[in-house]
Amino acid sequence: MPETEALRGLAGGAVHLPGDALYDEARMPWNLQVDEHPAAVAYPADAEEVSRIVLAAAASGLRVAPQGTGHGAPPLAGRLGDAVLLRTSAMTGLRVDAARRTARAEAGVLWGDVIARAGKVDLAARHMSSPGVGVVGSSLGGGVSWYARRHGLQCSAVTAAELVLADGTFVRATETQDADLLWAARGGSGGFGVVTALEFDLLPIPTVYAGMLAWDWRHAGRVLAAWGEWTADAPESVTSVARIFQVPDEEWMPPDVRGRQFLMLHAVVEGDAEAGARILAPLRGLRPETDTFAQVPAADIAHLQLDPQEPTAVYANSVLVHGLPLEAVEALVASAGPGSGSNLLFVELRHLGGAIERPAPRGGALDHLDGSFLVLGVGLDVGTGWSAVREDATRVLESLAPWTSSASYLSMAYEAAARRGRSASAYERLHRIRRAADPDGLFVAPQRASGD
Amino acid sequence: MDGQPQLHLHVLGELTATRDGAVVDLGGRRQRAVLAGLIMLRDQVVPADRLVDCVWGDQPPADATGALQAYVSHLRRRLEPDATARQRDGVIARAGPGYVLRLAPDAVDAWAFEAAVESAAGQAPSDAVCTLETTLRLWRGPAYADYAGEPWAQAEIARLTELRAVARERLLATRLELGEAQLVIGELEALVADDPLREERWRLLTLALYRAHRQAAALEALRRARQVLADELGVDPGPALRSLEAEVLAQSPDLDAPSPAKADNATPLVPRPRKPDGLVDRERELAVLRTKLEDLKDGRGGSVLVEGPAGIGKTRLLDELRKLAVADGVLVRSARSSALEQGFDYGVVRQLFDAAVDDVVRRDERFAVLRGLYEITADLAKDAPFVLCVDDVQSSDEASVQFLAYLVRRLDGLPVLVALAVRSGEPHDADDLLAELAGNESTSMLHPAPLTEQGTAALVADRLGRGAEAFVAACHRMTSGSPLLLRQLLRALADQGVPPDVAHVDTVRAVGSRAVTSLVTLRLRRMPATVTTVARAVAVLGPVADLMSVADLAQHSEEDVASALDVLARSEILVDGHPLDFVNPLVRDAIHADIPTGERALLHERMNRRLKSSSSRPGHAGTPRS
Repeated sequence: MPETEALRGLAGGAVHLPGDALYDEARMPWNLQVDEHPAAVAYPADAEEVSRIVLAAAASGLRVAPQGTGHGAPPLAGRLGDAVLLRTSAMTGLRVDAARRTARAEAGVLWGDVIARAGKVDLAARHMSSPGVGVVGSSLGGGVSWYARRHGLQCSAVTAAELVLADGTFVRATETQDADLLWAARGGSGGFGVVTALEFDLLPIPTVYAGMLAWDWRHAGRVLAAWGEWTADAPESVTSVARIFQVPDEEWMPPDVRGRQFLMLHAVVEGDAEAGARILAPLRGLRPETDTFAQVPAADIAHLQLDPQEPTAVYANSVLVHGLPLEAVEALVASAGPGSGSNLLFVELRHLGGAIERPAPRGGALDHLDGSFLVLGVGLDVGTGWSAVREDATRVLESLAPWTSSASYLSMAYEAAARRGRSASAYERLHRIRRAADPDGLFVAPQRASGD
Repeated sequence: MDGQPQLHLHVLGELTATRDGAVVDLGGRRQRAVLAGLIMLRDQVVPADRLVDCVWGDQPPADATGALQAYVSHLRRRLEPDATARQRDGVIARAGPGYVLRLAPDAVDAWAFEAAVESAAGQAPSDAVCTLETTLRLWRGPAYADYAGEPWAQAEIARLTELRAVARERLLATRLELGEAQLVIGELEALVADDPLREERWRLLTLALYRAHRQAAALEALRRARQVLADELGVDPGPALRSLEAEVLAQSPDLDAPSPAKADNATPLVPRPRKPDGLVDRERELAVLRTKLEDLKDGRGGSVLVEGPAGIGKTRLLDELRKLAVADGVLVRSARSSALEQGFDYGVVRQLFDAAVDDVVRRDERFAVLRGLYEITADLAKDAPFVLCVDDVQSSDEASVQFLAYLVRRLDGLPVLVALAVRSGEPHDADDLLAELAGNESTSMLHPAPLTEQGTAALVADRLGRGAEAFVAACHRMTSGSPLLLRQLLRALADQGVPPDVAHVDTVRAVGSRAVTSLVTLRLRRMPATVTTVARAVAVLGPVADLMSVADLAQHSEEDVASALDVLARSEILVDGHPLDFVNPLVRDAIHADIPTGERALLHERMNRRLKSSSSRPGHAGTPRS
């Protein structure tokens, strides 16, 4: 494609076109299931370079698809052929203001970087469970952290967004200036510009009571039922996650769990060890074979769950459900537990509710999640092909149909219609903002919307 | 431009030869014995009858002299196939009653080995480890393996074997000194098994075991030593072992490592950088430079040409040579050519000799100038041997290049070491000089290779901590082994606090796929404005930059400029020390090119005004570049 040649030399030479030595390496996102061939891949290092790429792409008749790590890449499949994949990994600037309890993270910063830096001054961020996930991408899409039940979604903690618009201009959107764009950045995912940095609030949490309880998955029904009951009364200071985990017999897994199947409960409690132990006592009474709970520095929960850090090919999908009655637990265990035939790596139930379920006071395009659990099915290709993995996940998620919400958490529901991601009025407003900021549809939005 | 074929003879193993890396067929066993006989006596004349003895022993043929001549003639043809028959005496020369070998000291592995072992003795422990490790790798088998049973070879084989034994012991002794007790025990056990009668090996083994907190094993080693010596020789251990035994029993503090294993225990996973200041993969080049310097101290001049692409580390090697020379008390005169000065005759010569050459270079006739400069050089060398270092010869003014060419042809008997670095792959005026150097037998050609992945890993560990495999691999791939690009990349990653883990591989890709120039300007853009302004002033001023002129040009106080210069040195944009210079001309060019047009005009205007008002040296007026 000759028109891409206009991009050569931009971003200090960090532009890779098809046929270049680095093109194949640069185009691969973290989720290796996505195998797209964009017209070009560029790694700008600051807003100025982003602006030049946006203008050059527009002049060449190409679109622009911003991407951080590519954890959320699946919805981009099939939409990048005429686009410049604008990867933000070179924008690594990170500032933590201990006095104001805020952070400014450029678009290439990972949650692990923020956790480490903030932890040094006894602050915590509303970070994702995997430290290798990018801050900007996950914040734009919502962001359910270990602190979410008390402190809400990460996107509602964003106080300023810096972005380059379709005409190449740079804006810093705050509550008082370009407030519409800040509103869009709070959960609107993208499609209105290239976000080059976000500012957001941190939490004064130096230590937490955190750990894992594990049972052989034979006990999945009993434990999930008890956990479901327990969550109904759990205080908002605790966020817990249950997983039916079929640990692969692979080297990247710890040897003592490799090849086994578990029901795991991970939880983080804000407060001291005494309060934490009191809250968790009913769950520990279920006689787990492993119990790792302890009072730890908040930064230590970065690796609480065993998520792979290196690029991996995974399929994932999710639903939001209202409540987890005994019937729902039975349906889930029948579809995902022992004897179900499911090959999914894990099925996760993330307890929501609390502040996540209430519209946030400073909320934007996504200000709450309509459901009390997020149920996530994640699978690796174990030799049966991706369609088999998808069927497994679909069967598991559909087994919960009677309790499923009409809403979806789009950051983890790659096949859901974009309209289900937010309220009708928020959806309309987001579209208006996108049309104003990007009238010609230059940007490829993270999720497919109608007419995209 | 690759110059004279590089002839290398190997005797640490079977006798072989390579010419530019290709194996040379040296003919049959007897013919090779002639060469072996010559190598053993190094640069001494070997009488014909000794060579006859080497070839035929007690039973020489009737016309031994004639047969010997035939062998010599065959060898000459093999070693110098390009020369005409008449000229083929470059390597094996006729001298009086016999023949002599004419080869650079590093052309024969045994000679280079000997020189390296000697130089290691005077080095700091970490350097010595590096020297000894490298040179021991020259051994491919027993020395003169094909003549192992020959009486005439016995003395030399024994000497080299002993030298190797000493080198291996010294290597382990030095590593022990560096606190690596636990790591050397296995190797010491092997050494002891190799030759259980060498008491030094038992001593080191005992010491290593003791320092590794294995006192019982240490005493057991001493008992084994006593047993072996009694059984084999019927003697008691010597004084060194006996006093060691007493000290072990007394737990004498004298046995502790000199610096109590500080780096070793605290950070056991970080590999020891092969050089404390992050020079990796340059062991061979350093060995050559050391040898050249040794020659110089012995009164023999010579030349070294470091050739390679931009950023491969030529300047760094010249720096190392300077450091070695200074440590040895040898005077160094240095110059760095600059495109800014290329139009000024004798700019480089003036940098080398300062005002001493002012009168000479004003002479009308070019030849008179050359002769005058040579005389000045010779006069200076009479006082003490010295090193002439010229970096970036490709940017030198033509007149200076002419002088250097004139000089390198006349180094015989002149205790001057000419060390030049030239960037390959760029057109320049120095071709004649390079041809001259390449054709000169006393020239050592160095072509520093791109960094290996191991070297890259060592530098990553040095700068960011031990790197994940995928992280190091990405660094290596992005920088193609260019030390300059790697250092700039690692600086950029370190500035941003990027940890060297798997999650940040894409950061390496993102930052590393930029060219050196854009990486430097990017880093500079993220520094405070004062620092940027100061860096730009230094770039505009070129070689005349100093604290005052930079302060003048940048219009900041000298205090502010000094601290900005400090930041730039710590960021490895400027070299640390005087004179003010960028770590690489690429860096200077990048900063110069990044100055906004208006600011550049302003800076040049200020510089011109400054030059007019000052009475600076005539040859040093920089030309404003546009």
